[in-house]
Amino acid sequence: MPLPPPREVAITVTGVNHHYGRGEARKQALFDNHLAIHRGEIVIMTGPSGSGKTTLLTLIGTLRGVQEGSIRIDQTELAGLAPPDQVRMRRNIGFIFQQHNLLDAISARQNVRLALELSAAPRREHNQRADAILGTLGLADRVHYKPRNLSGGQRQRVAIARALVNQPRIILADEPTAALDKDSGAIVVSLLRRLADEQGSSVMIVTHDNRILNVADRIVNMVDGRIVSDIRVKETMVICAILKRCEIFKEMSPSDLTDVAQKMREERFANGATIIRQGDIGDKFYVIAQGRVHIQVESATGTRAVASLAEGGFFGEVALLRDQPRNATAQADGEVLAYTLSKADFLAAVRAHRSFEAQLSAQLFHRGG
Amino acid sequence: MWFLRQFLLAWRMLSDRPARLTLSFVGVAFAVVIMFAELGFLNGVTDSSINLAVRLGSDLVVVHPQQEHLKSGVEFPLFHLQQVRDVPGVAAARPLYTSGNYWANPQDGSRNRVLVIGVDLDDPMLRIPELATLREELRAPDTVLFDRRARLELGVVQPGTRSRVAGHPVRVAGLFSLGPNFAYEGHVLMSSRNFLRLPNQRAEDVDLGMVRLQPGADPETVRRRIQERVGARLEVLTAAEVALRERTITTRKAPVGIVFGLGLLVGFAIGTVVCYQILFNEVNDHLPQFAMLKALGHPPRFLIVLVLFDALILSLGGFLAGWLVGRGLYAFLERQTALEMDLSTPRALLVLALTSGMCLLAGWLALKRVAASDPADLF
Amino acid sequence: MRTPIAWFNSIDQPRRTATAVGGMCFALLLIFMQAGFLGAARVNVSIIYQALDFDLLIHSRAYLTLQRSDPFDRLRLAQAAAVPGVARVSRFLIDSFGWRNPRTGSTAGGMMLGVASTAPVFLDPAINAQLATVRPTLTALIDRKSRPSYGPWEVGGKAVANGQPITLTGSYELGLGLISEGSIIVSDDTYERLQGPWNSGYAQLGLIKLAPGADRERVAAELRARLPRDVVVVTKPEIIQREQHYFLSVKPVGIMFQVGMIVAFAAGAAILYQILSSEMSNRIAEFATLKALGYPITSIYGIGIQQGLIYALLAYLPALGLAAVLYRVGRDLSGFPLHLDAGRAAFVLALALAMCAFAAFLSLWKIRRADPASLF
Ligand SMILES: Nc1ncnc2c1ncn2[C@@H]1O[C@H](COP(=O)(O)OP(=O)(O)OP(=O)(O)O)[C@@H](O)[C@H]1O
Ligand SMILES: [Mg+2]
Repeated sequence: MPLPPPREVAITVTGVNHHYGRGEARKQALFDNHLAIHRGEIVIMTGPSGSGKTTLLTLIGTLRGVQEGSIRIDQTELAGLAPPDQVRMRRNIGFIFQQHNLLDAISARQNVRLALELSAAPRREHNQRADAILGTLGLADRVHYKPRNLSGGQRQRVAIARALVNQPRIILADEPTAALDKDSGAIVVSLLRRLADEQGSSVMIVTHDNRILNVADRIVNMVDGRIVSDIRVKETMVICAILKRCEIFKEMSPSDLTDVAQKMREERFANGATIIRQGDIGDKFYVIAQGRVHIQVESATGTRAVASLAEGGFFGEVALLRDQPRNATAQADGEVLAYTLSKADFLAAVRAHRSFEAQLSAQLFHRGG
Repeated sequence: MWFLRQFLLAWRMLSDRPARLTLSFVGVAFAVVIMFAELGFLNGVTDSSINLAVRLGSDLVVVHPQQEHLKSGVEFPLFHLQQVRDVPGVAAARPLYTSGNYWANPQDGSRNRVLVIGVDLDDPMLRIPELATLREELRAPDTVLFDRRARLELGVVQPGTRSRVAGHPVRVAGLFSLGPNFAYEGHVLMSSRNFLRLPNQRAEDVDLGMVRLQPGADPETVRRRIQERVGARLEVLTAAEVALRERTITTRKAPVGIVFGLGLLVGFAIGTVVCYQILFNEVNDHLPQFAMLKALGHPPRFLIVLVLFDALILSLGGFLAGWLVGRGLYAFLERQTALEMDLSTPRALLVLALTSGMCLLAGWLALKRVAASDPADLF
Repeated sequence: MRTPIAWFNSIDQPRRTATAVGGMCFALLLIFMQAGFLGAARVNVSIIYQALDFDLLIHSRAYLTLQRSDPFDRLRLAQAAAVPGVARVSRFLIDSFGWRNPRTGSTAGGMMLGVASTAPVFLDPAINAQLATVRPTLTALIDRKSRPSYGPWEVGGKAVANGQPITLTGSYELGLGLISEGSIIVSDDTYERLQGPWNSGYAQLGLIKLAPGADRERVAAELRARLPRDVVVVTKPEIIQREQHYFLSVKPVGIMFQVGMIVAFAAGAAILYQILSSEMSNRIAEFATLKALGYPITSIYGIGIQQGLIYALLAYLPALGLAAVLYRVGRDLSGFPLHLDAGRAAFVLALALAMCAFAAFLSLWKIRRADPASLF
């Protein structure tokens, strides 16, 4: 399985708190949220009603001012953004609302054109582009209908066409498929997928619709104003596939494996970079996903190469398990992509999964410390 | 108490958006004010035009046939009145003299037009009580009764004030109430003896012959007899006919009456259209709720009553506000013009009827939409 | 081209728009009516002064309005003529008279204007040229714009004025409208015959023409200083302004027309505001959507203002047409000189736009409140 290429972060949410109301009625809706969404990534957000999903969405969409913390879209900080800049910012964002929010008095095409008219698209292309996207959504014969003469699902598709017609770099959707049947839901989702893959758009969808979970790159779960889990669906799958080929994980059950994989972070190293240095305090456990790593031990007698680990190899566990400084130096041999587990996660995993511990001991024994 | 429940429901639906409801009230209120204003203008003109005619206390009035109205100044010779006196059934026939003349403002000397009336003090046949209470004072030379409702331009006048009528010095013995009209800014009353002392007034030229019948005499018979006696040289009218004649001449012939008549029509058109528009929108915007009520299984009657309550609430609320403003407007106009602006109950009721009638009609038209509203539209 | 949202919003529900516009249209029509009458009356009350050629005017101290002017001693005219700067003083007589058409026997009221048959006191040269024809006593010029109640007459024909037969030697166009049913012009001799010989010692007005180069204010001051206190000297603009003021502010009709206009304006503005603001609140979610799409607030305000303008113009055009019809009706019914001139049309249009500005201004805060965050 190929590795996803390295991706830039499109949206960074750092330490965001949000309060509603004033004085007595002041109530906190978001608590210290952190989130990073990459280009071309589809993030699905779930969570119980009232947990703050919509609030976070409106903050990212510059529909509300950021109160505490920071939200960056590309290089722009949203906190403290002046209203005219907010307005300009919104033009890069496609909104899909739970209610369609179309203008009643104008036709489907004109509604879509409303978004186009704000873009740099040449005027003579407006109708053509509006019709094209409506056609993609199966509304080719409805371009001249007014919203009130469309079905609920059709209206929603017009609204989606309006959100997508400018191929915005960020798409924010709140329950976009609630009003759609399976097929039109699938059309919408695949359109979003295509925008994400081809344009590198970042898509954030709040939904309870299980049918669309499979397009998600990540699933973020929110409870009581906090992001409680952030599952990188696709990445986890890739990591699992790699881990499965590792000696030490081989005995692990798939669910245990997923558990570990979810906690792993991707790290990249250039050729010759020192990954860990002998004598440092150990804080991470490494699994090599790609490339080779040289392990050397330095002693009074000089530097001694101990091993050269390839894809599927791991290192850095001894310092964590024994709570000792690093006993060797690891250096990248060519480009290296590694997955890392923090000390705490590593120890927790060791404790939680007997088979993992057994494998580790065997390996340790095998390596001879 | 099923209708009370609906009334409360209608009220709750309306008051759900208080700002919107206020706005609707304001709209209806303005329509009501416009109707009141135009009605008041027309009535101010016509009411004031008959202010003298309605005080005529005689059974019959004889005038020159070419006298189109009381201010035209067409007179007839006194001896015709003596002929009338001889007609069987006539108890008394007295001359009434009038003259459009100038009253000098006692403060600044400026002149304004007043109608000067000379009456027979012993039997004035005018429904003006001060003529009886101040009879003896009025017998003194050059004493007059002054119109306390006359326009302010005529100056501040009290009993004892001295001024001039047609350049002739007079003393005000007392005040009476009549008010101005479109031709004159006020009235001045005096004995016919004093009247004839004014310049250019001759006892032979009578403006109005006031005729009282003997008790039990039939007015129609006597009228015919008088007509036979004097022929076409006089016209015999009842007091009511005189008033009607005055009113007709102002509403039909005078430009002003026609203008305000047209104004009244346009005003009522505005009122009705606005009421319609407001109620129609009110119902239209609540259509989803009506559809929902239908979906819940309420019978059509329930919805009809609901809409009619809507109409009633809007028209009553708007009317009340408009009526208050209308009263203020009338008071203002009364102060500015000194014309009597009478917001009488029948007139208020007419406007109320128009307002609620229009609201109900609009409600009824809107109901058709409610009837057509499909509960399925909700989804 | 940008999608004209305001226009589509306005025509989206034609019936609703029609009723909305209907109310406003009638309000504008009412303004047209009141303004029409007020304007016509304003011109009308001073029409005789407008037709006369003079710089300064002498009238009696007891003068109220032209129709209620008081005669003063003729001697004052001679005294005025002696003041330096005065080129000419003309005696002007005016009073109401009774007209009778001998052919039909119909009677009517009217104004009789008396001037010396040698004095060219009218601005219209056609009238001045005909003055010579009324030199013989009991001859008169007649106003072609006299009401139909004057019956059929012809130049050279006979008529009866104040009970005496007169010969019509010419005609002119004046049209007294509100003031009177018609008018005739006679020589001062004829006037004294018809209105009573006592007039011979009096004048009703003295029309003064200044010598070329004379300063009007200076001559007026000189006249005021020299003439006895029983007469007053005023300039032409002053007298015209006073006549208008008397009608507009003292007579009940003028006051009512003005109040009627204010009420109609207020009602029109209230109606438009009512329409516009209910339209705005119905579309609040749509405005929020536009905000979310990234439309700047100014262009969203623009939609509200445009919609107000559309309503105002949609109401104005039929009101203009209806006013033309009603003016006609009013003119036929009352003989009142009602005309739909460009000035009046522009005046009412300006009022309509003012209503629109007022209503739009008040309803825009609704747009400002539209919160895109509430859309989700
Ligand atoms: N405008 C507001 N004023 C006050 N409190 C609000 C407002 N909007 C949301 N809240 C509160 O903030 C909390 C989070 O609301 P939010 O709309 O973000 O929830 P959500 O996760 O989108 O729920 P759902 O799945 O039902 O849409 C809720 O407790 C809600 O009551
Ligand atoms: Mg939500």
